[in-house]
Amino acid sequence: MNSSNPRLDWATVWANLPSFGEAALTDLYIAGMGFVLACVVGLVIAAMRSNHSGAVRSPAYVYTQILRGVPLYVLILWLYFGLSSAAGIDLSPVTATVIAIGLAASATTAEIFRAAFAAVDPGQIEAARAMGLRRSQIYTHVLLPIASRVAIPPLGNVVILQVKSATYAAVIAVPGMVYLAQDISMTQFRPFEAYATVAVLLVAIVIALSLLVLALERTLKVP
Amino acid sequence: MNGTLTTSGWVDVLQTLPVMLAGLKYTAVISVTSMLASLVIGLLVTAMRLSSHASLRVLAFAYVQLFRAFSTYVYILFIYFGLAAFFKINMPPVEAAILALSLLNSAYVSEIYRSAIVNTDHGLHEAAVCTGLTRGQAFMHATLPQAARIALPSLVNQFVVVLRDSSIVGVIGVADIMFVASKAASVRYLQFEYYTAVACVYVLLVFAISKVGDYFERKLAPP
Repeated sequence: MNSSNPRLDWATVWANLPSFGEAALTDLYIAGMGFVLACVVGLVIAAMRSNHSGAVRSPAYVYTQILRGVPLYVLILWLYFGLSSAAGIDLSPVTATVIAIGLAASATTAEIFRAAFAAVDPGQIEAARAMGLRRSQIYTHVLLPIASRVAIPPLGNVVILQVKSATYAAVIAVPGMVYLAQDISMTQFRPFEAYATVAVLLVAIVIALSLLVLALERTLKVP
Repeated sequence: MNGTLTTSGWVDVLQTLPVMLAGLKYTAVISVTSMLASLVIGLLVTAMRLSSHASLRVLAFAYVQLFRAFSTYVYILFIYFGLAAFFKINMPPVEAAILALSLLNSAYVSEIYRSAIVNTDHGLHEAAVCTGLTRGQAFMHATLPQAARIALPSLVNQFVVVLRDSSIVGVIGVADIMFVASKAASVRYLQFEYYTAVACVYVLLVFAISKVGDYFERKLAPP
């Protein structure tokens, strides 16, 4: 192997293609779990922020301001190394990344949920109440169907954001796409080909997800 | 030391704080230069995106889609290790970081410009043209002032994103605050204390920038 050879040689990448597939699945798993966590935390924060009591609202505000300020890289290292050194909490690298990207996106999802519920016409809820629906029925039959239509396009963007955020997992040695590329570029001296492969895979995943969200939007559209 | 938080740990952080804060000069140079560059490149991309030539429009659309698929981390690695190895250029890390952040964020900035221009009242533009202004004058005097008002909050928000994303430049050896803190933390096994301090600095910076943004937003608001 000659590191100063400027010609492209894709044989290394080609030989590692199955590993790239596996690594991409690891990234997607992290992104998926991170998305679920962001939705759960986001719902809680959205509920807290719409609470009547200031004592419930202000912790949610402080939480949002903190999460808005801390870079993802810092958050990942804080969770993985910081919690371990101070409290002896040893998270696995995958868990630490999932929690970090989940919390990092939770401020965004909270805002999405808030806007979606605000978009429901109060008349619809009054009508449902007048017809004798219970609170839980109003939730499942009126509020959620209407709000989800508003929330799905921006939530699709959050899924894509999580795919990009999941690439940061390499900083704590999670064997995702970036980690594999780093390995190939160091052992096979093919940094350009290795990182270009990650870039192509990322673009492909993001385009596929965008099309999926678009299809979902069309299906849910009011005729 | 494991599992304990001692005062001496925090004293240690305080003693290193001046060195860490000195690292902020890289953060400032990289994020401000990248933001300014993306404001200019974004303008170019938006002009192409709204051009009457279909080929320019497609090119600009592809540019935006491409760069929105990468995380800052992946793109910095690609530029610094991938491109540098391929073209055999020895790019200093700070330049590589600025190049990566500028290109990446210009895609987001151009989307902010585009949505601001699209959301202006087109009637004002038409009225300006009817009173005898050229199309260029109408853009400068009718469309631009409205668009600037709409775009400003999103641009401030984008600057916050650039500032946060710039924390990753330590991975290519730029001695920013996070890089300095990581080194000190691993030598003394005080990861929690050091990363918490870095997080606090970022939260304060972002909070201050948002407040400045709010102030200008109020000043620019139509009476």
